Amino acid sequence: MSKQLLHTYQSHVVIVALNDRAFVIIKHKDDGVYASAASSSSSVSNLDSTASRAYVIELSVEVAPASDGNSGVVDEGGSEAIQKGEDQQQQQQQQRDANTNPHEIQAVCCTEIESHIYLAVSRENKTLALYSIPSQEYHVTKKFVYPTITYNLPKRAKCLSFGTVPSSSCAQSNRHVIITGDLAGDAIAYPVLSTNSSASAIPTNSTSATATTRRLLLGHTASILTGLNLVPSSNINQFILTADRDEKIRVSHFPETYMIHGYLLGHSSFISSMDAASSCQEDSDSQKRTVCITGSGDGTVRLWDYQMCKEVGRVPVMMKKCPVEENNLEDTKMPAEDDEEEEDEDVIVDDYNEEEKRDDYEDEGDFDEDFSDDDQDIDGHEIAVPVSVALSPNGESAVVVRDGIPTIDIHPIPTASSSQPILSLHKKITLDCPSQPLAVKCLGDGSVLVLGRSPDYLVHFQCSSSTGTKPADGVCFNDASSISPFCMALKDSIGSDHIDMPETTLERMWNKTNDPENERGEEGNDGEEQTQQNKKRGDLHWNDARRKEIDKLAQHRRKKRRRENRKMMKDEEVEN
Amino acid sequence: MTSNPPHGMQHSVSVCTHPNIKQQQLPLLRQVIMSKQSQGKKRKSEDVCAATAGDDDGVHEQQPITSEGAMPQKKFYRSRAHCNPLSFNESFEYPTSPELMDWIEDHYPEHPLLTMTKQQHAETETHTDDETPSSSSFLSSSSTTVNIQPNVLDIGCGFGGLTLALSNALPTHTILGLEIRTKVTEYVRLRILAHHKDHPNLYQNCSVLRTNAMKYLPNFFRKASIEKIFFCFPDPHFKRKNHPRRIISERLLSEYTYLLKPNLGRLYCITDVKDLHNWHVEKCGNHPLLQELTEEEMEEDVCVKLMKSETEEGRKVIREGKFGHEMYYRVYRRVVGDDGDNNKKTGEEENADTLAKVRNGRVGSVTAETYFAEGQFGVERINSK
Repeated sequence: MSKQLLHTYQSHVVIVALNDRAFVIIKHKDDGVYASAASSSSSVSNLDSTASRAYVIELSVEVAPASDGNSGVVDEGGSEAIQKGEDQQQQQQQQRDANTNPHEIQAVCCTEIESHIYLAVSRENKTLALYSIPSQEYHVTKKFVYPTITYNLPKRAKCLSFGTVPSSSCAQSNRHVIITGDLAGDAIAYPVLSTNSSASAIPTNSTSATATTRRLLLGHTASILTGLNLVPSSNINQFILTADRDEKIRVSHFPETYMIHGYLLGHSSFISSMDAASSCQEDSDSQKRTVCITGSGDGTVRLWDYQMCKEVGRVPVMMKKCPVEENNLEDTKMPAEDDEEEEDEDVIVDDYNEEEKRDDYEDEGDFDEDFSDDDQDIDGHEIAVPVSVALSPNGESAVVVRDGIPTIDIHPIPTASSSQPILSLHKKITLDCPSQPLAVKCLGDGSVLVLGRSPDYLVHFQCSSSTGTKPADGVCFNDASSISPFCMALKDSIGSDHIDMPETTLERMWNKTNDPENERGEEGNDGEEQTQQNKKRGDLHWNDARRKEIDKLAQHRRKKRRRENRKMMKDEEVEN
Repeated sequence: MTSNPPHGMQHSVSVCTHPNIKQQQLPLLRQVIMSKQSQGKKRKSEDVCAATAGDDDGVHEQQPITSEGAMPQKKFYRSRAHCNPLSFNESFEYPTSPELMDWIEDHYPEHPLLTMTKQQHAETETHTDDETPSSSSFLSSSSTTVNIQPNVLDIGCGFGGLTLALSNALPTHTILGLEIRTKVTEYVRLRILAHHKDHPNLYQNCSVLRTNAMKYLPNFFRKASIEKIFFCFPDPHFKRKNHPRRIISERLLSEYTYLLKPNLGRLYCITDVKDLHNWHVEKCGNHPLLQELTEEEMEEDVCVKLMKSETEEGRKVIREGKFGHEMYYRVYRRVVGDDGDNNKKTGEEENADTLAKVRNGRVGSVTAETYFAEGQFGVERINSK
């Protein structure tokens, strides 16, 4: 359920979402890799801060004041029935508007195609804004960039990905699309209009350039898409991976998304986050690794081979202490493997006993899992849901960020061995973060970027293995935020503004009785979490008393309005 | 109430529909059904049953409505015809993945293929005294295990007319009826048991499963494992806002084609509502992996006739004809969609040009030029204000 708030492209483009402001940080590509190709001991002092500078551009919400042919807001004409539905939605929206920011960013995405950097931002008000920056000119652009086009989405989109539809003739006329995974379970592709090409690339018979088309790629029925990735398959073809709330990850061909390659089944709860290598990797055997990693509400992080549709690795469940509700007991799955892992867990758990404020982890908001085949019941502990996972570009380590635990774990992925069909990724390196991490991504050079809360919004960990080959167990990661051009540039550009960041990216049940300490980022999505758990407990989600009240009020209002309308119409007739 | 779900199964279920259900569990089953149905329902016959099911003491004192082996009567199993499968609130039991589903023990204990294998074993081995349905364990340990998987699906099987007819007509196939309504599934289950009793050695290859076909099909069935899928008289869901609830939609067709075997797989749909038939034809025709059968091919297929005459709804159409007496049907074949992996020829250079050529030759190829063209699968026009 987590939002895609951080996205990177190779090693030089980073897009980050801070509540409702989006920033793109572009590092000059020709700088080379800093601090890792260090032959001398003190690598820091060798750096010239001006050489590896990064530029920050903020992505603005508003449309450009001078509207030319290409920019504009694309709306969809709805029929009567849909209009009514939207009215009702707007009512509910207004109810929640007091607590939610309509411009709050749900997902961001970046890519670089043909010397243009494209960025996409999807927001709470169901819009998708596309921005384009020419690669050579980023340092001369102003601090703000306006969207080239803004699409209205049928539903909020929580995950985004750029894709390329190969052309039948030559590579030059490939079609680039932005794919959204939304809350209706659909993956829809929108065209990416490049600023120089004309709108004639899209067949429109009207001269108005605001008419456009979109393409429904696939849909997970009655579910929501929580992860979307485009990945290469074993040959030049591509797959699209979509993860949903019903524990399934679907692997479909791309662009022939109607053809399903397979499903990755095995999780027992919703998928919270997914990552995959976005470009073809070759390891030493020149075998292309086709792995992806998913984190789920059941606490596990699993590694899958999507070509064979098999699970190849698993990270054990981690527990965290839940101090609030003692009756919030659930069965948990302790790792079957190491004993030392259990010790680690206990140690970790005790540390966070005092520090974290858990007022917002209410009873219904937590993801307590119902492992029906488990006997153990650990008092006051609950599963720490991995909210963000990342795979390093060479496919050698997995990074996990868990909800409520202010460290990140880096698990080295051992090579596949025939003795263990499913690798257990229990070895890990734990890195402390100055604030609760919200999202994690790996850059092309193997370093790890973590999105946190203020004041250090971005934390950059650099791998200090100097040889650049496979990291041995003794590799260590350093916090390189002080010298990282990304972090420094972002801090400079934000300056003294304080941006409210959510406590967690997981969506929780919206509780009216929340105290003002709670962040605005937490809001229920029509009680989806409730539905999810109630489904497990066998309850009916419309037995929820509060929902009944809201429904009643809405119905009253609707009837009143209809009555008034009818009265008005009758009065008008009488007058006439 | 019910035993713990077997390993690998998820979610507790309020209703157990396994054919081997014990006698004691039946009254509790009815109790659950009644409590849901008695909210706002006016049917008296059900309330009568509810009264008897109401008192809890002495499970053995209650007589089930239908004892196992007797033909059930429809009047006790009536259920609301329309439901919203997208938000169906009863919890279903489904396996985490298809490999964990054991069809033999729960659904097809006396499947003809199983008995054939048993006979073969009886000839080869000295003592085989397992005749009980739990001989699945015995079979699984042997090397010639027959893996029973359903390969004919009747989605929305209703009161089971077509399921039983297919079981007779296709003795070597394994038929499974899927139904979302609890009471109706129970009816079908009892009906199958009654047929087992009345016609020994027949109807052993069909069974019924209570599940939401729109959500859980990939959990039960593997890729390319189904030969026939039937959609008989599905709920039309006339209102435009209810169109996503229709059982045939672009999203779900991809799932159905995933399950169907290439070239062998067939999709049958029949309805008496012309509007819905046009919808079916449009959606299936648009899907690149489905090819319509010609009139002659449809006439040759014995299942088409069964579809028309053996379903409860079909008979009702002939009798009453609420929407007219005409039944519209179509059959589609699942064509081979190149998976792309077959393209890799050893030694051949895989540059963009050769791939493009191959891709164009593929069924339903999607290229950049036509990606947003009208008529392409899934393309929708957004109009400006």
